[in-house]
Amino acid sequence: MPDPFTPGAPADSSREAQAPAAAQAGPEVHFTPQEAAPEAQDKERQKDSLQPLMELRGVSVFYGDFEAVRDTDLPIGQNRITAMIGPSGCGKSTILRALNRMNDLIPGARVSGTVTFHGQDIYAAGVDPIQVRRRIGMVFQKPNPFPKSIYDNIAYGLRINGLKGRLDDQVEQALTGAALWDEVKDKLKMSAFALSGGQQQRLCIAEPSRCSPR
Amino acid sequence: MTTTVPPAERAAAGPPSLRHSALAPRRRITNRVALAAITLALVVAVVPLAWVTISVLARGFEIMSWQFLTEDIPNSYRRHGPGMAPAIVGTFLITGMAALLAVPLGVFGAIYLNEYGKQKPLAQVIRTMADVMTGVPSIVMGLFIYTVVVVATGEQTGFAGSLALACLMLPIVIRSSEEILRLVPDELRQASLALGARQWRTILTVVVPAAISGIVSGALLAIARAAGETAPLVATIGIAFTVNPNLFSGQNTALPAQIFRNASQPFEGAQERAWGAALTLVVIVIVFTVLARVVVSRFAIKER
Repeated sequence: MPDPFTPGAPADSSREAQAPAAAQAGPEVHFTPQEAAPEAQDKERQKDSLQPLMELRGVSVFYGDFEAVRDTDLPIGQNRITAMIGPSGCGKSTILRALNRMNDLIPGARVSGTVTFHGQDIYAAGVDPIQVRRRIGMVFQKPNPFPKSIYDNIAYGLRINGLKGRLDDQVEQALTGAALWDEVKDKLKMSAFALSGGQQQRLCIAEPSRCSPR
Repeated sequence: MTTTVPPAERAAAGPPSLRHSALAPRRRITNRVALAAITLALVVAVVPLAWVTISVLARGFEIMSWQFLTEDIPNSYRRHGPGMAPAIVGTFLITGMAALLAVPLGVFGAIYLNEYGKQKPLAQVIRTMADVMTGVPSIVMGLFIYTVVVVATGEQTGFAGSLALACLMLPIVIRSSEEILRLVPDELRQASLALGARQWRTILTVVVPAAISGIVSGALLAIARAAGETAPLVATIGIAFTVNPNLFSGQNTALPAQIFRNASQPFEGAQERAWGAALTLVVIVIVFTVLARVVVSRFAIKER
């Protein structure tokens, strides 16, 4: 089924539309913006667009015998927002999950082709999926905070990345970064489930973005 | 059949009636019948429970006294009067030791089954065996420990009783914990793994805390069940009339064993003590259940 929004997408005989190549909009994969001086940023961007940070080449994802995504090429530039659009069930999330090896967790899922990150194949033998996921963060479609307090939700992500001791400042920084601090600063010990759906999602965004990806 | 009136007709007949009587008679009657049936089922279910509780309370209180809780058991069934302390101490020690053996083992087993084993053949075999073991009569556990431990050591001890109870509890703890762990949504595991947490960390800090109240409930059910078990103890711990705080040497006794022995005597003195022991056991189980609930609610984070 041809996707009207992505004229560049090749016609595909399978029912699954191909993940269209880089379009601009809504972030789902997060990369912390590189801290570069403003004047250096433009040059940096130009270089980035020439050399993608991540690249999918001939990626197909199978769930058992079912080929969910076929032969997809997708460059993802550094410091850029890459968006994917397409009809429901066309494999957008599947592609996303292929980027940090979350498909490993689904029994029977298999990825063929190469996904490179800084030029290394993240599916190569000897690559630890944990290391991949620590560098490539992910926010899910549905908010999924942990059944812990708001504070502990953020602190958990920080501790995984080796931070110890008093985390108050980092937690505040993370929540401020996700535009949530003002709403929750007086109820950090409250369950994350007491937040509204949108607040929960911002809490989730605050988590991995603090994990210094890249 | 109930029909929804089309908007046009409704307008003609004035505003729709929101009164209960406007409901179709069939729906009204069905609702009444269902409510009555459910209430009846509840009453029928409560009658035996209340009856047992009232009898145990009424008969048990006749003999209940400070002496009953602190004095040794008379060594004649004919004699009237108090004394159940050795059985109370025995129940605490034997059941406590059994819980210490079975609960950690069972919970770790359940974690293996649900988080690592999943559908692997080994996990399937363990799961099936645990299911079969829950159906094994408790006397079989008692006789098994009797042949393996008591005959080998040549002595009936409290610890042999603990082993028998632990065998009984283990499958219950495994299966109940596994069911609870299965209820933990996969999104939580994925969220944690997506942050770059390793599996052991995800299990320890996300999965188990999310399931802790259910795990504790399951463990409590198993402990309460074991505390009331008679058959495995009769075969393994022997009998004692004085307090034996040492689980590893000398015969021991426990409340269910005392209830069994005393209630099956034709003498009134013994039967009184059996009721008293029954009341003591019920109270102990209630106190522990409430305590555990309080502890679990402390663990739980505040919702509001």
